[in-house]
Amino acid sequence: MLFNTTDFGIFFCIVLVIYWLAWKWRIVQHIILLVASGYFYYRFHYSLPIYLYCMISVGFAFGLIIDVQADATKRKTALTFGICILGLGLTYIKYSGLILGNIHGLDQWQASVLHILTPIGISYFTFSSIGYITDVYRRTIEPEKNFITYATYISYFPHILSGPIPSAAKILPQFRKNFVPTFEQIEQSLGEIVWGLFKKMVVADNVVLTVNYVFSHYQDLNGSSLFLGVTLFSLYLYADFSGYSEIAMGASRLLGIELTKNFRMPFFSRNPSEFWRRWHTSLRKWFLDYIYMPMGGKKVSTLKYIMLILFIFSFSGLWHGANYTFVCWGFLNGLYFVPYILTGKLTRYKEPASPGRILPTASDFLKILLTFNLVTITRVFFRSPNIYVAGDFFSKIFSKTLFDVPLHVVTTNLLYCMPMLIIEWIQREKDYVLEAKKLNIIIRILIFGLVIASICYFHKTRNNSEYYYFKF
Amino acid sequence: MSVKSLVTIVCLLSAGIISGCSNEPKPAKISREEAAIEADKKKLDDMNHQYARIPDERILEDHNPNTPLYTELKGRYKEHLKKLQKDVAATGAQFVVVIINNGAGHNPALSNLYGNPYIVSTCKELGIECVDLSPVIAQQDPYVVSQTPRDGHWSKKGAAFLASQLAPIIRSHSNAKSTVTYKDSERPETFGDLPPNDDEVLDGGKDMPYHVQANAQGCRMTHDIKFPKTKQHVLFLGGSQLYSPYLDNEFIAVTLLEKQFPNAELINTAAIASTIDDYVSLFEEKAKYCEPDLVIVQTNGGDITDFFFTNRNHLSRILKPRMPSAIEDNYYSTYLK
Repeated sequence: MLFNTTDFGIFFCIVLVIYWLAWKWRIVQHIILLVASGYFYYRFHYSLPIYLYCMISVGFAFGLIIDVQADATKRKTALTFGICILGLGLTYIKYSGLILGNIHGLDQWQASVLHILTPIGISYFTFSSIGYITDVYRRTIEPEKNFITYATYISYFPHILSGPIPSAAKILPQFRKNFVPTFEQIEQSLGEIVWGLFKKMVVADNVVLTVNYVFSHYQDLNGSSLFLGVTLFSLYLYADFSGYSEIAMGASRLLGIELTKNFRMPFFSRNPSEFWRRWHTSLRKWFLDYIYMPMGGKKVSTLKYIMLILFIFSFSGLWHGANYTFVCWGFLNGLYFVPYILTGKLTRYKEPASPGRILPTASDFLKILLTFNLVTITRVFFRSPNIYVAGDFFSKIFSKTLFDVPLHVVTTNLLYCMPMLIIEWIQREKDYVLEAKKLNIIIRILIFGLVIASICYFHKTRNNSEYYYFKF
Repeated sequence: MSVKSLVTIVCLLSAGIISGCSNEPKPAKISREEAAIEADKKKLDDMNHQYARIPDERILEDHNPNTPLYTELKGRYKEHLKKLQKDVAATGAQFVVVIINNGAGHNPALSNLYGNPYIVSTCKELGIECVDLSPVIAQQDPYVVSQTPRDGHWSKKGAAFLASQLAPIIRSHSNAKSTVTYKDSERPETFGDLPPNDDEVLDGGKDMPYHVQANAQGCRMTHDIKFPKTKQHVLFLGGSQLYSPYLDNEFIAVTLLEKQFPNAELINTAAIASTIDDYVSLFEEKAKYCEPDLVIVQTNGGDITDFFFTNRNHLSRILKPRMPSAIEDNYYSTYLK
């Protein structure tokens, strides 16, 4: 049940109505959400909820076990044990292929005997569970004593498939409070859902075939088409993933839960550091809280800091999949930080680029262009099935055909992405893209109508593709 | 939450839904012909709901090519072939039937096993030149010439192989010349059924993306055909074997042949799921106006089973319902049981 389907629309409306009707009884609301999430997850495969509820039980139990340990060593042992158990499934399902595949003789055995269904969203709910028990260990949060509340939090359908990875300290308390939405909240939710659908159905679904084409026919295409093809992939990935995240945020806000904002218009970033503070922020925060800070963060020598950055990025690559291409992707993105760190120019921008201006300043424009291209070129690793293909792809891009006329179909598909970028640029200082508080309600209605009309008009039903980040 | 808030939310949603979903205003008045076409489409939709397609191979599953049903379908095939022959002859063009199927390396489908010999004998009976490529295709390795195991259509090497088989046919008709010319005012805007100037990536739902380009005249080629003609025109009428899904334009057989025959204009009107009755209607409506000197028709035994009424209703380019004959109706009821 994808977010952009009629099935989900009907499902969500039913859940929403029942959920609001039970607004006086929080526990009843939790049960409604728990049943709805179970059903939502079950629709992908009947066996998936079994694995999910096992993980939930383990996470819940370890939260309580860690909390009751008075002795620091015992707490640490319990945490380590909990992380190992929770991480076991993820490691086995996602990484056994990479590990055993390199051991002669075991690769075949692994493929034939150990192959089992990969639960969709496993990386997300595993990281959520690990984050939760770590927070309990650190006493950042009280452990949840009510199993239904905890199960509702982990299995919550707006975030279970592709995040945002919830921060227990921020999200879990919201499940304990009663909620009545304000008009502004509802308008914002609808705005996010509509814009998310636009990005998925008008941009991502229209360009996905051309992206697939470029990567599967790279040997037949010239360098300029490949370069623009990778650019298209970058824009597609953003439209697809941020579209999903915005629908999740909007839907969740209607249910009274404010999820972490996963994307903050990353393509207008002026250096790699700003980009990663705006792209998949929930994953970044997870790495920051549970790996980067415990390992010293910025409070170490420059060399160690660089090593730490490279490690975190390589590890985040591995989170995406058991393939060296992801490690290379992460490593390269980490490597981009090195010159900025060494020259002390890793500016921590607080405001969006060129605030208050229609067009960016020349300096901002060049920085944005450089950052976008640096990040985009790493997508070759992200998308290629193996290192050899990625290498071949790079050699094709950076050949003498780089300045040939690109394939028309690629350039026309890039045009599909332009309205999204232009509108997001104009609205970059707002809380959400369709925010227009200063305008009259009629004009706001017309804006909503226009976006919905464009979704109906431009959406190609035959390209109703799955969200790219489901595979992670 | 106030009543005003609720009303606003309902307005927000309904405005979008109304403006988004009703962007095709109905004309105030439609002509009688348009009304008839609409009625046909509606009836066709109803029939397609009522009668699902059945697998072609089921029609010949008892290995008997002389059942009343198959005999009836063969009769329809012959009738249409005769009609096409007559239409082509009226233009003075030469007419060649080429049997091409995707039976490389393995036993042919039943429809080809029984259908191809029938096509050969029918062509002989009607005095049509027929080239049966199925034996030579059968000798090829399917993993080389087709996209097996993902799909049975031509690979790049397969398209090159097909081009090498078609080249002698074109060469042997280099003197073919039609006797008919048309005024520009008579000529339709397109000769083929692809969207004019189409330039997109498709994947046929198989995650095998390929780049399709059509010229302004709706043919799978990258240049437009100009008139008055200065070269010999070779028209290809065909289904997916000539259209070649999952291959970019530059790799399909007709494009490869273009390079071998710079003095001929090769016009590719092939489209997926087309069969002989589509060729007849396409030729009459559009394709003959490209003034072909040689018409090469790709066919195979599947075109015979394609005459089963459910196939025609689901696949034909002419959106007109075909009612089942008594034999078909009887077969369909038996099949359902």
